[in-house]
Order: sequence, then C-alpha cells, then structure tokens
Amino acid sequence: MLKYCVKRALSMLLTLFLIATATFFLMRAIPGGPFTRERTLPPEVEKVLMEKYNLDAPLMVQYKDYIVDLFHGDLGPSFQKVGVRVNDMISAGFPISAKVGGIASLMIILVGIPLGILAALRKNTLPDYVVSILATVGITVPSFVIGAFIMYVFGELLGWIPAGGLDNWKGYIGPVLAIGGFSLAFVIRLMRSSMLEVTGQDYIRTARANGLPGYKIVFKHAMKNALIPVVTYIGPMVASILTGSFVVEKIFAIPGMGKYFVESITNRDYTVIMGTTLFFAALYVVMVFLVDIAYALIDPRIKLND
Amino acid sequence: MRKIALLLAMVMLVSVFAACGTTTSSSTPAGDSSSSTPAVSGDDLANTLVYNLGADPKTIDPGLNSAVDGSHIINNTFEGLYRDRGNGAPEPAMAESVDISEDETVYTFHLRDAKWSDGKPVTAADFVFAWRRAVDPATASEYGYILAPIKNATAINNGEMAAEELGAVAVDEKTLEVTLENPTGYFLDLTGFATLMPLREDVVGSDVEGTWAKDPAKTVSNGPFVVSEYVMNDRLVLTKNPEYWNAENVKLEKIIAKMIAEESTALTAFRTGELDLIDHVPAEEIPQMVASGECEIYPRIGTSFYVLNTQTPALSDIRVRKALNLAVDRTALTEQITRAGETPAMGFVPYGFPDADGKDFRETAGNYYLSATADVEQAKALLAEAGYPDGEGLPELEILYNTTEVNKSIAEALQSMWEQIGVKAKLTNQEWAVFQNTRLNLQYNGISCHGWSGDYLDPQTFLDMFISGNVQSGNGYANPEYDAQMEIGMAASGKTRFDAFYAAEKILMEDAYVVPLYFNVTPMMCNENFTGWYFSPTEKFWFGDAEITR
Repeated sequence: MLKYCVKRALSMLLTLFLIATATFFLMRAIPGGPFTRERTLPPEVEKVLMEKYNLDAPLMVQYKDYIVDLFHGDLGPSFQKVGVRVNDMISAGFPISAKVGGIASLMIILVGIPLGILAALRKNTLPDYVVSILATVGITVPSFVIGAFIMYVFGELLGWIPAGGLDNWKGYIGPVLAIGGFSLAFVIRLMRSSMLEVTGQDYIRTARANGLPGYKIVFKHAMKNALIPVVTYIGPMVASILTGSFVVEKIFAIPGMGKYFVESITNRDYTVIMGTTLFFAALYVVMVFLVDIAYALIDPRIKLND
Repeated sequence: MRKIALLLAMVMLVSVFAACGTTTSSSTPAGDSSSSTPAVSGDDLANTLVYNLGADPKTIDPGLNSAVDGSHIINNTFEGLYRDRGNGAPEPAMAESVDISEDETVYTFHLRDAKWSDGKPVTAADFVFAWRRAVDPATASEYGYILAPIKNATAINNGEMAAEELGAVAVDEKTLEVTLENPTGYFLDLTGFATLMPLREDVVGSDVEGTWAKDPAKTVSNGPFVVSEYVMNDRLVLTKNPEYWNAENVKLEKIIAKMIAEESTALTAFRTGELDLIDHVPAEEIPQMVASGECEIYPRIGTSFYVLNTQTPALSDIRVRKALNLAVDRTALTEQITRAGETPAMGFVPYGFPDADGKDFRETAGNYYLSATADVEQAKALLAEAGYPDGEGLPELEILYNTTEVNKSIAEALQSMWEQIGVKAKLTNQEWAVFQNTRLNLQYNGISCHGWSGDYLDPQTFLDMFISGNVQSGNGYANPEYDAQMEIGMAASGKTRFDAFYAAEKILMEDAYVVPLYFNVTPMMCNENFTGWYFSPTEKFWFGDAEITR
C-alpha cells in the first residue's frame, strides 16, 4: 500500500510537471501579451515592465526560472493585479469557491445517490418519472441559465435571496444550485442506470431467493457495486466544482477563484494562467488518486498493488 | 471487513469536503465574506452610499492608475490642484489660486492650508514627488505621458533626462511653480487628473506597485474620503476624511463600492434596493428603461469609429474611402443596434469641447461631406469614378473587430451597408488581445474597429492619435499637413489653437481614413434619494458634494 502511494505520488508530480510545461509554452504561443492595452503603452514604459517581470529574458530562461520558483512553492506576481502574488490570489479566492463547491458536492452526493437508487428501485413508476424529468432538465439547462433564472425569480421578483454576495446563508442557495445542478442530474442518472444494471444480475437474484431482507440486498449487495461508476465521476467533478465557475461566480457576485481561469487568459496574465491551471491540475490528480483508493475499499476484487 | 472498508471510503470522501469547509471558516480574513457586515441593512446605512464599481480596480495608486474604475475611487480619495465639480469650469481645490505668466507657460500655484488624512499638511513637495514619480520610466506608469505639457516630461518619460529636470518646482511649502513646454489651455483641467494628484513620499516611498493604496493601514490621502476597508474582488469601503479641508460640506459618511461584474446582477441589486447607483446596465434593457425614465443617459467624450488601413492597396484611392464613409447609415446604427441614446458621428471629435469662443467644437466643425443617414447614390458614383462600378474589380476587404455582441452587430450592419454599394468584405473577429496586436501591426486587410475616450476637455486628447507615427491610430495614418496643423495648435492657445485643430480635423475627415460611427454615452441608474453627485464627461464620479436620504 505504501509502495503504491509513493509510486502514485511520483507519477502525479510528473503529470503536473508535464502540464506546467505544456501550459507554459502554449500560452506563450498566443499573440498579445500582459501589457497589450487598448492604448498602446509608450515603448520605454513597456520595456521597464518587461524587465521587471523577467519577460525580456529568452523563453527557455523564463521557463527555467518559473520551474525553479514553482519548486519553491512560489507562483510569482500577477501582471494584472499589480503587487499581488498569485499564491495570495488563490488563497483568498479558493476558500470562497470551495465553500460553495463543497456544499454543492455534498448536495450532489447526499441527494443524487439516494434519488438515483429510488428511481432505479421504483422503475417506471411516478417517482422514477419525476426524478428522471428533473434529471433531464438539470443536464440540458446550462448553469448560467439556472443561475440567471434563480437570480431573476427568487432575487428580483420574490426577493427571497440577496442579489449576489455570500453575506448570509441565503446567498448560498443560488450558486450551489447553479454550480451543482448539472452534476446532480448526472449523478442521479448514472446511479439509476448503474443500479438497474446491478439489480438485474444473478447474485442479486440469488440473494433474493435466499430470502435476504430488501434493505440488505439494496444497501449491502447492490449499491456497493453500483457506486463504482458514480465514484469515478464524482472524483474529478469535486475538483472542478471546488475551484469555482466563472459564470456562476459572476452571476452571483462571488469573490471566488473561478474568474481567474477565464480572465487570466484574456489578460495574458501568464503567472495567473499557470497558477490556476496547476492548482486545478493538482486537485484533479489528487481526486483521481482518491477515487482509485475508494475503488479498492468498495470492491475487494480491485487491488492497488500495481 | 467489507463494511469497514465501505465506511472508510465514505469517511474519506466526506473528510475531503470537511477539510475544505474548515479552511474556509478559519483562514483568509481578506476573502471570507461571512466575516464582513451585510452590504445593506437598516439603520447603519444612514449617510452611506452603496454603489457598483463593477470590478476590482487594478490599482488605486493615482500615479499608476490607467483605468476608469480606478479613477472613480481616486477622484474621491485624492484631490489635485483644481477639480471639476460640475460647475462648468475647474475650481480651485488643493490650490487656492494660481498666477499664470503672460506667455501662459509658467503657472504659479498657491496651495491652501489643507491636510492629509493623517493630519500632516499638504505641501508643494508632495506634488513634485508625485509628478516626478509618474514620469520616471522606472515607475512604469501607464499614464505618465499625460504630463507631456510640463517641461521635459516627455524627455524624462523616454529615459533621456533625469526626473529632477521636470518643470515643477516647490518654491516653498505652499508654492508650486510649474513650467510648461507650450501654452496649454487645458492645463488647469488636467491638474484634476489622477496622475497629477499629490502623493506622500514617506507613504509611497519606492513602491511602484501601488500596494499601499488599497491597504487601509498604510494609505494616506487628501480627498474627501479615505480607504477604510478592502476585500479583494468584493468591495472597497471609503469613509469620510475628517481632515479634508472642506470636510464640513461633505455629507456622505461612507461609500461602499461593490465589485459586481455581472450587469444583470447589479440591475437586480439596484431594483431590490441593495445598490443606490449603477453605471453599467445590460445593453438589451437600456432602450425600454430609458423610455420609462428608469435609466438616464449621461454624455461622455468617446467616439466609436472604424479605421481604414493605409497599407491596403485597394483603399489608396480617396474616392473608395469616401464611398465607404458615405455608405454608412449612422442613424440606423444608433437607433437599431446600440439604442442607448448614442449620437451619430459625422466627425471625429465628439460633442462637449468648447472652443476659444465658447462654441462647441463639434457643432462648429460641422458634418463635412457626411450626413446622419447613408448617401448610397453618391457612394456608388464615387466608386464608379474610381474604376470600380458597382464594386467590380475591387478586391474583397476584411472587417476586423474584437469579439463582443455589440461589435459583432455593428460589423454585420456595416458589411451589409457596404454590400449595397458593391463592396464585399468578410468579417474577422478576434479575441481582444489578439485583435489589439493585429491592429497595432496593421495586419488586417482593410477595415478595423476602433474607439477612443478623451482624458481631458480639449480636442487634442482625440486629435493627437493621428499624428504621423502615433501607433494609437491603428491604421498607420501619416499626413504632413495634418502634423503641421497639430504642431501649430498644440503650441498655441486660444483662437490660434482651435483654428489649427479645426483645420486638422478637416484634413483628417477629408482624407477619409477614419469612418466615425457614433459618440458614446453612459447609461446610469440612480436611487432618487441620492443627489448632488456629478459624473464628468471624462467618466469620473464626484461624491464630495453628494447627499443621500434614507
């Protein structure tokens, strides 16, 4: 187990390094730069800025410098938010996004999985239809529509939730539903179909024939196997939900980190592009790792030795 | 065993979320909004303005700022020598009076007894420090060039001279002597510009990143308000500066500037009473809200236009360029596309610049050969005369724009207007920064979107971008006659200056490398209980005379 973890950790680091390298050179290949302005800067000013941020050095030197800093845990200064370090931007923005995302993830797991099971067990009855319709709506309607709809109906017309901000618990309702809506619907459908598949298998029939009580069949024998695909989906999903969404955070005026993923690219804020990408990538590979461990715990047939 | 394994899996998943939860509640005072007070609730909002700044300004250090949102804050936290308070002309602010030499090149400002927010006096040296810092290339101020009228400023900004050579000297603690390169009619107005605000050397020091300005513990300012709280991407809070020289007449106690980027969310917040003032309104809502009186339109000095590339061979014939200009139905653009109260532009310099006789520059200069609607017949005739009857033989052109909804609609409308006279053009849209790069390097085949907003109330703020070699033009425009007129105008004041500027704009328009479309406006929604505020044509809010009743 320990050997496995060390091996995985090394491969995760290698993955991150490759991502860092690819991102670094890809972002530098797009035209424009961090000092591209509506009004072109005087050449002397631009020169000073390029020197200040080490952008006048050859690209390979910049790459080397960046990687060295990265190994020291320093993500560099932002070009757009003058005087602010990327580390500080992430440590201020991530907890806010993660709180919204964490609540959304919990909602997805605690609501999605039971509803999926319910729909599977009551296949082709009213509860199944209701759940399936809701799930289809969740999958087909994009988050910005859900967000704007919630904001308009519950914020503006009814005045139940505040118009943006997270100043009290009501402020979380809109963003959590908007950011988690799709995944909730997806998990319900996944859980339902997976559960249907499992309950049709021979060993479940055998269990029934042996007269085991229904709840035991469902929770002990069927659900565990049916969870495998759901866990596979939930791992990476958590990484992406925790790091926030540009659209949802914009609609609900949440000062999280979701905006950096998009704005940094528009602004050619190189260090922020790198920082947010690597942060997300790190979270992602960790979640994939956790999913692999979860497999072994759920299904004893899966071994972690290799 | 299996039960335990399953339990473990669950515990692990849950602990991941729990871990996230705890980080949120225990760390980052800057980010955790649960620790801050609700934006709007009840009694504690007496004399408090809550308005939408729209974004977290890149900086609110006056010397470094180059953005509109930053200048909204700076205009209320700092004060220059003179200030435009909306009474028609700049009024003495930090300066009590000024003596202007006969040749209008030496301004001697006598400062009033004003204090900084920490109680220390505002001195002439504070201005000298701030101005030298702004023009010093080591500071890399993006707006350092705005000080160009001051002697040696441009040379210093280009790294050819030391900052100490700047034509601004502190004669004594309360006397500031400024020497200009040339008479500059708009100089008093310019002293209210953010870059010319005084700064405290002991506060700013060698900080060229401006971090001191947003930090309530460090910032010291001399305007009616001072920064008292900053939450990244969420809000800036200003409180009344009791040391301000005119503090007894400042009625607002507090300004909460929210950073809501989404216009429709800001509109919802306005309608539910959480915001008192918004200046970004969803474009699709403007026409009906203007009609209902909910939204008001404020003029500002800004022009939307297209430029024709001087490097495109097909456009070297002036008749083709004039035909393109004539084929544009500007009224259709403002009435069917932008619909926020914009004015069709038949010239380049917008309304709002009074000339030496006090007459409006735009009204006096007139419409040249253009009218508010298209003249398809004349356009076709010119095109035929140029050897391209109905556009035959004219190579296909390109309409370049950066990707936004409005730009796209405008470009499509222009494409069909030009199609009517037989000119074929394909649309090319590029992401903002790529577009800037393409236009700057003249790498487009024919026609590009452009726009400009003025910095000060003089036509020079518009016209100097077309002086030969100025890269801001985006089309490589170079005409010695134009340069000659601009040189005369920029070195003179009064009638000579404006006559030269009139002549320059005429040359520019008759050359037809510019296709003006419309003059911009700012839609604004304001709580009726909030009064006395002023929004200048150069897009700056002034809250020092404002009042709110709840």
